[in-house]
Parts: sequence; C-alpha cells; structure tokens
Amino acid sequence: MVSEPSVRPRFDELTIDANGAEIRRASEWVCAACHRREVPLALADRLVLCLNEVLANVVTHGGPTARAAPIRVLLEVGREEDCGNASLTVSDTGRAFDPTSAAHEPLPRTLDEASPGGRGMLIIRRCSDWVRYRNEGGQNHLTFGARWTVQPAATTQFPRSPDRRVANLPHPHEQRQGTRRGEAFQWITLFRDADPRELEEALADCEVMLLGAGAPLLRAGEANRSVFILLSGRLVAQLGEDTNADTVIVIAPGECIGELSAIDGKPISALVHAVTDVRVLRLDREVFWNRLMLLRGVAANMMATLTERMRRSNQTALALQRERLEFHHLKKELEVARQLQASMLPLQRPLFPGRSDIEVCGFMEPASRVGGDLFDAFFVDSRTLFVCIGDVSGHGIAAALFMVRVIGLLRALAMDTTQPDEILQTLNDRLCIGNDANLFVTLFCGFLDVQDGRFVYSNGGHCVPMVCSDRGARRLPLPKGMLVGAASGRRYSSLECELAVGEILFCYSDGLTEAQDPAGMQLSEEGCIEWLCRGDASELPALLDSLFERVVQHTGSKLMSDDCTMLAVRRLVPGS
Amino acid sequence: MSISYDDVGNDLRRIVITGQLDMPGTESIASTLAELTAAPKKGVVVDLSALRFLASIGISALITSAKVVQQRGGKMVLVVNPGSSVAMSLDATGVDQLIPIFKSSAEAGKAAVA
Repeated sequence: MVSEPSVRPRFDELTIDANGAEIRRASEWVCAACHRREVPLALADRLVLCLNEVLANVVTHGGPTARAAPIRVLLEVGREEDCGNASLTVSDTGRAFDPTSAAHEPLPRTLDEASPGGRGMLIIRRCSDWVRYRNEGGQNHLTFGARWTVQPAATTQFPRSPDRRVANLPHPHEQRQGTRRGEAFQWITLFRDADPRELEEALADCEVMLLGAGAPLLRAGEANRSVFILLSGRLVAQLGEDTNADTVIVIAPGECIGELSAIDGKPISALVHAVTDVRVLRLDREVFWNRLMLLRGVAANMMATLTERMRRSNQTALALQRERLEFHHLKKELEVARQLQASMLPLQRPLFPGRSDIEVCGFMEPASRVGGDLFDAFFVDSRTLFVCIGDVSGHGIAAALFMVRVIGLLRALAMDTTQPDEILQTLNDRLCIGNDANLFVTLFCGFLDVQDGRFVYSNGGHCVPMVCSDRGARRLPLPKGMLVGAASGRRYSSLECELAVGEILFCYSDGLTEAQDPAGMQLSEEGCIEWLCRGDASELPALLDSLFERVVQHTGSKLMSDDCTMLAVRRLVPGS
Repeated sequence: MSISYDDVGNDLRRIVITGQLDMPGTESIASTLAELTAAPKKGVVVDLSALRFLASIGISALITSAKVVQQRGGKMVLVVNPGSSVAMSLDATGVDQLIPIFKSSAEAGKAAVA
C-alpha cells in the first residue's frame, strides 16, 4: 500500500463541460478538495458559492465558444505561518468578459423595485476577498479567493505593545487580534519580493489597528502621515459626497491606502471607512519611505500598484462616459419603442365606425412612458368579434417587449380557433418558452357573436369584467385560470353568457380600480360601476373619458402610478 | 431535490424546498414553485431550513414568486437557518432586505398572515 505523499502538489485541477450538471460536479469536487487541504468549512462554502456563479455565467453567457472546449477549474491553497488562503481560477473559452468591470448597482430597497435576476456578480464580489480577471491566449481567466487566519502560534515575533486604539473596541476578545504576534506579511503584494527577516525588522515598530464595521479610517481633508495596508475585512473609499456606487471604491485585503497623501503631503482626498470589522497595518510615513522602500522589490511593486490604480481609474472614467452616451441613445430608443407600442393597440375611437350593430372603444393611459397593459378587438369573421385585455407584470422595456409578443401571438391564435380557453392554453405554453425575464401577463379574452349576443370567454388571472346597463351592473362569473406565462402546461376553461342589446361589456386593468386618492383609498369596482351606470346613455368614447376624469379627480394627479386601461363593447340595434 | 407543500387553514401555504437551488436544482422545481405561489393564499411561507445551497438562479426564482404573491396583495416570507450557507447567499445579495426572513416556521407563519 502506498502511503499518501507528505508534500502535496500546489494545485488541484479539474476540467468540466459547460452545463448545469457539471457545475454541480465541480462544486462537489471543490468541497472535497478543500476538506482534504483543511480549508475551513465556512470559507469553502463561500468559494463554492462564488464558483457556482462564475460557472453559471460561463454556461449562460459564454456563447457557443464556451461549449466548444472544457472549462478548467484550478484550486490553489497556500499557507503562511498563521494564515491561509485558497483561490480558484476558472478558465474558459467563452466570449471575452470581465465581470470585475461590471458597474456596482445600488441594491433595491423594496420588492417592487427589485428585478428577479442579476445577483451573481454581487455574490462573487461579496463572498470572496479578491477577484481578478485576465484574458490571455483567447481564454478568460477569473481568479477569486479568500483567506483565513489560524490561531496565533506560540512564538512571539513582535513583542510590541497592543494597538492603542483597542480601547474603542466593542468586544474585549478582539483585543488579542490587535497584537501582531507571529503575523507574517509576505502575502501582501507590496512585500512579496522582500527578504522576510528584513521585512520583519522594518515592520517592528508598526502597529495593527482594529476598526469595527462602520468606523472611519481616514476623513477627506485631514492631514495624513501614514500609509495603511488592509490585512482583513473590507474598506471602502468614498470620493464624493453621495454614496452613489459610481464613486465608491472597494479596497480588498493587501491593498494600500493613503499612499498618495503620504507621497505628496496633501490632505486626504476620500473618506475611507470600514464596512466589516477590519484589521489594518499602519506604517508611519518615515518608516515607509526610509525603511520599507529600501527593501527588495517594494519600490517596484509600489509603482506597479499606482500604475494599476491609475489605469483602473482611467477605465472607470471612460466607462462612465460611454454609459452616459448610451443612456442618451437609449432614451431616444425608448421613445421610439413607446410610439411603436402605442401603434400596436387599436386606439382609434370608436373602433368599428362602419358597423351599426356594435360599438367598441378602448382607452389607455400608461404610467411610465413604456407601459405593460394591452387590449385588442377585431373581427375574426363577419359576426364574431374577438376582444382581449391584459396586464403584463412589471414596467419598462422588458414588459413592453413581452406585451408586443403577447399581442402578436394573440392575433395569430384568434384566427385559428374560436375557443378562448384553447387560446390561453397555447399562448401560455408559447410564452413560457424563452421567458428569461420571468414576466407574465394577466389576460381576459373572449369571442362575441354580435348578432345573437352569445359571448364565450376565458380568463387567466385578470380582474373581473362587468356588464352594465341602465338596470344596473353585474360582474361576469369567471372561470378559474392562472396568470399566463408563469408555468407551462396549465389548463384553462371557458364560460358563456349573453350580452343583451344595449348592455355594455366593460373590461379594465387594475390600474383603474386600484387608483388611490392621497389618503390611500382605492377608487374600487363600486366606484366605477356607479359611474358607468350613471353615464349609460352616452357614447362609449365620452363614457370612458369621463370615467378617466373621475380617476384623475380621485387621485388628484394626471400621472398614473399604474397603467390605466379600459375596453368597452356595446351591442346596438342595427339601424336604430 | 424536493419541493412539497401543505395548506394551513384557508390563508396560509407552507412550501418546503430541500436539496440545492443551483442551476439544475432550480430548473427542476421552478415551475412547481411558480404554480404553488400563484395560489390565492394570503400568506406563503417558503421553508429553506433544509436547503443545502442557494445560488443566484434560485434567488431569482424566489424573488419572482415573492413579487407574484405581493402583486395579488399577499405576503411571502422565508424560513432560513441563521449562519447557514443559504443565509450567507441571501445576506450577500441583500435579499434579506426584500423578503422577510425568520428562524422558525412558527414565527414565519404568523408574520405571513399578519
């Protein structure tokens, strides 16, 4: 039996294909390898989480070239005396993409604001201590990792007094970590080429500071006589007044802070504060210039760091400028999209002026400039009128595109069958294909025989239409049916009723009944019914306009918080 | 990977998801989750205390469901073990600010129908 070699290779390597099942295999492999190499469990969990996101990115967005060759995953575990680090490198042949260049978007504060997707990069950024990207040899190489500290060794290399600031610390146990017993600093990029013993001597007088989450390290405008190096935790530098993501720079362990003001003696240019509990090595300006700079490689590494930082800030500035241009362009495109969208809906009033047996009129007031409500009405043969009304989840361009898809599909489907439940069933299955944005639509639709008044209808989660006449109003009984586009394979059913001559079939979206007055009271169905029955005698365009005026009066504003859409159909006595 | 549910009275639905919500796991339960959360219940508790792993694709499915529930006037809450890898995913993505999270199923049930 061969015993396990005492010196393990530096790397563990795995190659996988670009698909979901293989991602899981890679995760299990990393778990096992981390366990073998004694990486703490919590840290291994973080790495696996990041790995999942990185690989999912490659599989989903890497394009066909990502699937052409296997993805390589490399695990590297390093150890110093009292700390360890583990990093993973993912190399793939997909479309060149630098995830570290992605903009930091502010986190949504409410569920309404939140979009379902797009949290992968956030996980990678927050669950790893560093992320680096390079594109080499036609491949993406993304390296990310984390480090941990081992309980201090028994030997005391730095018999210095504990940090002076520890008195401010909330927990006395953290005091121990404020000393630097046995701490090696060779892992810091700046010092990686220096002789360990010389480094130890040069750092002998330097202190390690502890700051609690939220505490400031440097304030803009202050004079500064020190260079700081972040040892663990996370700091952010905030350049402007606002906490906007564009002006905030995250500082990772091993990075320098304050070196610019230490070079030119000018005051600090940014507010730097701790976002987690942090440990920071403080180097006095004199020590920094007179001792550390003389060590092998330190000056060169310092220059490299500064150059890199300059390059990064240039890139940020360029990216920002590009984004602004794109934003202006997008705004124009959105305006075109809005016009196109409006032109898809039958907004002529009344809708079929040539017909004496039916009166049809629609109304729509979008909330945002590009809305998600829809309605349609058209004859599939000389006596059968198809009507529908719907409300797409969400707003903005994604909802608008989805709505256009719904309208297009409905028009095609209504030509094939006069069974409204069949239409919803097929529409639902079609919409579920490639619905990456997880959008859905509530939809009511039906076929009205304008000669005998027979109305067959089906519903997918839309609010109840009403039938009104001078004798009062009634809600249409609704067949059960789930909203459309959320889950494939759903079945819908249909019901039938008769629309008498003179009766108005009134369909609407919830933007109408849920319109709120300043005190939060909704207009409600009752409020609408009352108005509709009262205005029964007037022509439909005038009736819908007056109902909308009622909404404006109720909310006290012409700007709707949700799309407000109505569709009314009334049978007439021909020739009357 | 499993997803199951039971209804407590008329107002509350408890959904339990076990296994891993990574790419294959989420794909296998996403439509069932959407269906289960689309039922007209006032409160929905999604119990993740036996879930071993939660990736952003799983988070996306949870947010979609929470939005559906909220849009029809209901409330969706989560049950998560503090300190677990699932709690870490939710914390890192700020989801704990969007969907209420509880340690116990009992607390969660109470909050969902409150």
